[in-house]
Amino acid sequence: MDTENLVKTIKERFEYDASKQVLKEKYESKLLFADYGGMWKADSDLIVLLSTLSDEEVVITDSYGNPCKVNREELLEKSKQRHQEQMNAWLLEFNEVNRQR
Amino acid sequence: MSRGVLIFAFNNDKIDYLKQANWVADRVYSYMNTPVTIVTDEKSIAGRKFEHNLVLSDAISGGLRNFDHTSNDKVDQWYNANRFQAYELSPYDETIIIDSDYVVSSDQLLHLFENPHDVLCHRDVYDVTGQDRFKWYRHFGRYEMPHYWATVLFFRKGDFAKNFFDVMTMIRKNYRHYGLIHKFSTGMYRNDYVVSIALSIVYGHNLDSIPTIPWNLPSLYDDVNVEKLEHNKFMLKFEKDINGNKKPYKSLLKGSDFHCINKFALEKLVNG
Repeated sequence: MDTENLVKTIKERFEYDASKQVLKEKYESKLLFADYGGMWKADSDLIVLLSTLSDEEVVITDSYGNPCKVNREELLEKSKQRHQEQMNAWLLEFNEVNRQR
Repeated sequence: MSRGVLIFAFNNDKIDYLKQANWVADRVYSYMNTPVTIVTDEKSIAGRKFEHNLVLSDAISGGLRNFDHTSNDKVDQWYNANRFQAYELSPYDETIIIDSDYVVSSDQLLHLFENPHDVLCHRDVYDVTGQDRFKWYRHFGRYEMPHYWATVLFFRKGDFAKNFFDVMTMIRKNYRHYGLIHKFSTGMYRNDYVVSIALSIVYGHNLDSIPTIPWNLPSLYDDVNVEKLEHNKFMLKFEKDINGNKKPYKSLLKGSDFHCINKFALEKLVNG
């Protein structure tokens, strides 16, 4: 490596905000799953909505805004499970990025 | 129902697109366990052997392009205009077309096979370096037509997708006409523009009703360098303008697909 490249490499700063944003985009996309003929995002909005409703079968709109009839408890369970899996993975990678700073 | 990935790859004298496509195809197979078909021509194959399914077609040029923003001697034909043939050439019922510079590092694209829509592509892109340099690509033409990205294009064979590709064919044949209507430069054929106009037409010009891939396309600008750390972990090196001075930066990308617009950085990755 020549001196110019060596100096450049030493001066390289880790872009923390961009790495954090990449993780956000990545894990938000991983919250998606398909069920009951619709596409769902296992985020807090969906989990709260399903927790608030009480009927066994409910009609709610999916990520594309299309109404779908779902089994509330089943979808809630799947959403909570996916949400937690991805949040745990996100936290691990987030800690890894923090160590890079 | 058969499912697979389709990649178009026609070489010119500057870039071995087929080699890139083959490298990407290996990654698709690793992360998605999905068959891949590469559409190419005899000239690109040049007697080499490839493990993935190859379909032959005549390369159609979309015009001359400068392949390196840092010099003017990397101008060559850009054979990018075959995409309208995808419906006929794809051996699958459900197909994801990806560009040969779309680096697969996850199984994220598998979600597309589960979605209820017959044609989908990305509307939103994010700049992985955090500089938001793709904001200029939100629209195209003087009348700010919404810009959809042809980098990843999902279709499920049926009447709707057939109509979509028929409309793409019609737009390709009348590209200058559509350039005049939307007031964009027609010097170079752009799949993004053709896909955007075709989506607008098949959805009855009701732009709000066009469904898109429900996550943003991770993209690297053409001056970002990429180093492979692990099979699915990359170090990105780029410069940022801080108070008028260019400062070197780096960031990590792990387990995420990305669109690598810097063809020469991609070539280095492919060549190991």
